[in-house]
Amino acid sequence: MSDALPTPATLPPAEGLDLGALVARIYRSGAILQVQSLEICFLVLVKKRTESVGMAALSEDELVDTILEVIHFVDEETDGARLRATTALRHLREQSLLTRVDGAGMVKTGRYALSRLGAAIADFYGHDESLDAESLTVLTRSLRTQLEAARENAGSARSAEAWRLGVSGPLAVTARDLIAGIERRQRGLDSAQERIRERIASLLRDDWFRAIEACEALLDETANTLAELNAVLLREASDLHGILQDLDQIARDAGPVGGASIAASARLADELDRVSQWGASRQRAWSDYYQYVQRFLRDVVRLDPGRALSQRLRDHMRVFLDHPYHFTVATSLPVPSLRPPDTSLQRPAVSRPVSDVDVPIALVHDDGSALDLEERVKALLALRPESLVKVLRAVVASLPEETRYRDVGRVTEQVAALARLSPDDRGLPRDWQDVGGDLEVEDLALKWDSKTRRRK
Amino acid sequence: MFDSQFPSLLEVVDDAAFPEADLALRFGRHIDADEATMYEFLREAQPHLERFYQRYGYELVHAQAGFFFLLPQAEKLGRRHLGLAEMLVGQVLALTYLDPSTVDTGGAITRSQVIEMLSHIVGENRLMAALHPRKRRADERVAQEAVRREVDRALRALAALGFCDLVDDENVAIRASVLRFVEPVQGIGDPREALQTLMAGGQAVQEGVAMSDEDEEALDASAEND
Repeated sequence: MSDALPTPATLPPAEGLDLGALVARIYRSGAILQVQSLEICFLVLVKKRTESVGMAALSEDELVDTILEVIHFVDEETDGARLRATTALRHLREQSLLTRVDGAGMVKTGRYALSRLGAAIADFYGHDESLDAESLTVLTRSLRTQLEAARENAGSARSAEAWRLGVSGPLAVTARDLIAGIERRQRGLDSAQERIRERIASLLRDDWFRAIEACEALLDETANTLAELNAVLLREASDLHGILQDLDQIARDAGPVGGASIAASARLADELDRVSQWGASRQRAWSDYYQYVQRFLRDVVRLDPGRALSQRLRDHMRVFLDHPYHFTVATSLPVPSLRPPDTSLQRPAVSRPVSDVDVPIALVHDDGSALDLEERVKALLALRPESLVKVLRAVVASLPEETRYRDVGRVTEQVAALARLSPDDRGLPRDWQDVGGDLEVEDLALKWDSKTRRRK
Repeated sequence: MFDSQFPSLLEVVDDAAFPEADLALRFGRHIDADEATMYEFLREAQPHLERFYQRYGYELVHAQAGFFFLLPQAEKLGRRHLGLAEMLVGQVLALTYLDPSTVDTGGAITRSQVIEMLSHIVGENRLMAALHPRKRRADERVAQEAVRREVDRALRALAALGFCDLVDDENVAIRASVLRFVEPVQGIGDPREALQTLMAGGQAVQEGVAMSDEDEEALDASAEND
């Protein structure tokens, strides 16, 4: 590890940071931990030794002797052992796994103790601290004693100082430490269960028919332990929650001085819930595993004690495609439901009628009849007729039948252009008059006076 | 008189578990002890139901490995035959179920592991040729993708039949019913003879009659229902 890299102990405090910021800060710091097997053994031995002799710290010489002892235990090469010991010690100090505790600096050889991190590593590897019904009962009873004492203190507390020292302080430190102790042992039991699962898998791999009894014993033992723990947790958690509720009520009645205690008891209640849920969830998970292994032992191991079935099936699969066969199964196709009639109206989209816009031009022979008709109308208008009908009646009889309808329109247009309509006629309903040739028109009254000027 | 909680078929049909169990069996589902309510019901009602289904041309089979299923013995009601991919994937699931290393995972396998095992045991080229048959040599990636699709389809169909559970997009939990795929090799004799016995009993058919149009429709329907 590089000397420049900061160790966890040198990191600035994380108070007031959210989790994202905390994680980002640790990542940016480049924190790294590298501990060799020999060093882990050394940490475990130091922990055991200091616990057994009741010493909090060891001198440099004692540390070197301890690490030499480790080298001796693990039968490693003893050449250069002292140099290796010194290097290992420096490595551990750089990573804050060992802490100097005498504060004497360079003046004299120091005394060293395991740091919190070093002690945790030693505990993890050297201390089989798993939970059983007995240790759980002891811990929960200690917790109950602490909470009862806090409740009693809360009842008699009259000052903020008394609340802090007698209630919120013990709740935040002692009670939480006890719960942390339970959780630590729970994690130990998790590890133990994992080892049992590995052991069961290993027993089945090696000789599964002979493994039946051993597997069943392991399964039953763990199942019983978990059931006991869950029962203790359920029973105790209920009582502990009751005490916490009492505490909460007393703190609320006390007003602002009880604020910190309300928060502390709420936190403890959450932690208690977590501890209780652990028991239930692990028991459930182990129950599933238990059932699966039992079924495996029943279905597979007893079905195939000689473990020949797997190999026969494998061989069978290799040639299956040469002569494939197919299992028969029942099937009931879903009954097709008749489609219900669609009663919604089919509204066609609004669009123009499709027509051929490129109508070819037809050649029409001009026989001059239109010009003749125009001249005749001019002549009739010169006689100042009273109405349109009189003009039309004069010309209709001479119009060819096939163009009569169109010619009447032309005459009307010409009359309207050259004559004036009577002012009395404007806006009034007009009579329909027969003009001959099976045609009727709306009559127009024409007005003629001296000022009438013929329009072109 | 049977030593059962059901004195007659009337009580069997009247039981709350009957409709679900009946429908499941008719859809080809294999019911093992994991489906506790239906399994216990079938165990208790087995003598009555055997006669009941016999009238429809079905045989109610209670396999030695501990699961029930309906075996069609006549044409009165629907039946189908598992496809090639379903047979291969079913055999891989059975092989995995027999492996003690799956105890640690609670009998789960991933889809990728299924394909990997198939390729390893059957051979990648043979597998692609079987599940993605083409006259012209297809692009390898296309063929692999087709094999993956066929395996996914087979897993869905096998799950509908009660041989496994699809835990999520990747994981498959194997059920005891998958031991049906072990039956041809269960005895110490020649597997071909065991297969002949199964075929004589209507449990299996040889290549050629498998996967008719009706089978394809049934497979599609079961996949859609799934």
